[in-house]
Amino acid sequence: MELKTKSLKELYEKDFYLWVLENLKLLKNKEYELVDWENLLEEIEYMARKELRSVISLMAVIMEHLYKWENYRESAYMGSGWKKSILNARKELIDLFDEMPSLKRIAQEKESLNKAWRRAVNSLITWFKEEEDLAQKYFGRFPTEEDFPKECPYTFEQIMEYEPWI
Amino acid sequence: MELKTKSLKELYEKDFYLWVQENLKLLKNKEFELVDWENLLEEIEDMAKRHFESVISYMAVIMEHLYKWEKFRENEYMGSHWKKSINTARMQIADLFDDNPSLRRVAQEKDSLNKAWKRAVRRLIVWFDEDENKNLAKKYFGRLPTEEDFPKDCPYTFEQVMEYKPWLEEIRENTETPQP
Repeated sequence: MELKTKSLKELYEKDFYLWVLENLKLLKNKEYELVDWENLLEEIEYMARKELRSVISLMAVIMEHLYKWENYRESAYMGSGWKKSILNARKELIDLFDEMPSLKRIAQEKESLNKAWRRAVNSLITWFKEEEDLAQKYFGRFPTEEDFPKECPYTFEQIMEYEPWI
Repeated sequence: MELKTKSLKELYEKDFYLWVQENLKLLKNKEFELVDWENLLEEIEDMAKRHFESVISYMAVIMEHLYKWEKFRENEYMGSHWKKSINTARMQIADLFDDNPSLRRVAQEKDSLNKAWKRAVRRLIVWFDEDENKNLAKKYFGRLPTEEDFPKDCPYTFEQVMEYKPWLEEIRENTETPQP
């Protein structure tokens, strides 16, 4: 029995498709002791984590563009793309929260906000690499993480509702 | 106990994220009888089905473009994109087969080939409906083609899907033409 579980564990690396089908068969037969729980629990956990990841990355998109609008908008001609990004990301977040209300609670946690903010900072750094003139003007060089707030400067409410263009 | 499973089943529709977490907790505690197996088994099956579906759609892309090349290539200026689509899809399939060797066997089944072919036909019909291809539709069918205008069964073998390069035949034909 142990041998069988071991070879099932190996299958996880070698043939994921077959690994799923084999575990499925065992579960349907209630042969729980033979299931490769280590990998299966991880896969099931991933189903949820994937959704949280989408939330974090949508929040990061919003933060990045809110921050750009507030700090680096040079003229009335800039920012229509940023506004669109913010509005689209909000729409997607609302859909996700509709389907998974519990995600809304987790999204508001400080840890989630900071995680999203760190991503937003990375995107801002990348953005400035393409906007050399702006980088020169605001930082005298390309900015690094230290040039941005360490903690997320936005509340969850601001992420979902703040409209700097109004 | 039954009530609890019932409310878990309801959670599946109402809050997928929480549903996963709750089932995960039950599985970790080996409280197997409380798990929402109906939905969970389906979700697990989906993990595998997703890969199978990708294989089918890559095969459909390949069939669509092989068929275009063989039947509707009007001149040597056409088809460089088709070739690229075929090569890209083949590379993606090869990656999937590397990670899931058992999928290769499943992909070769007649059912799989016909499923992919059906999708290819659908894509061909849409292609003929595009404005720039209206004339081709007229030339070959006298109108917009329908499913009936294409073979009912998949005209390609699995080997052809994976390896056939109609553009090589052409080179061979050209080199075989006797020089004046």
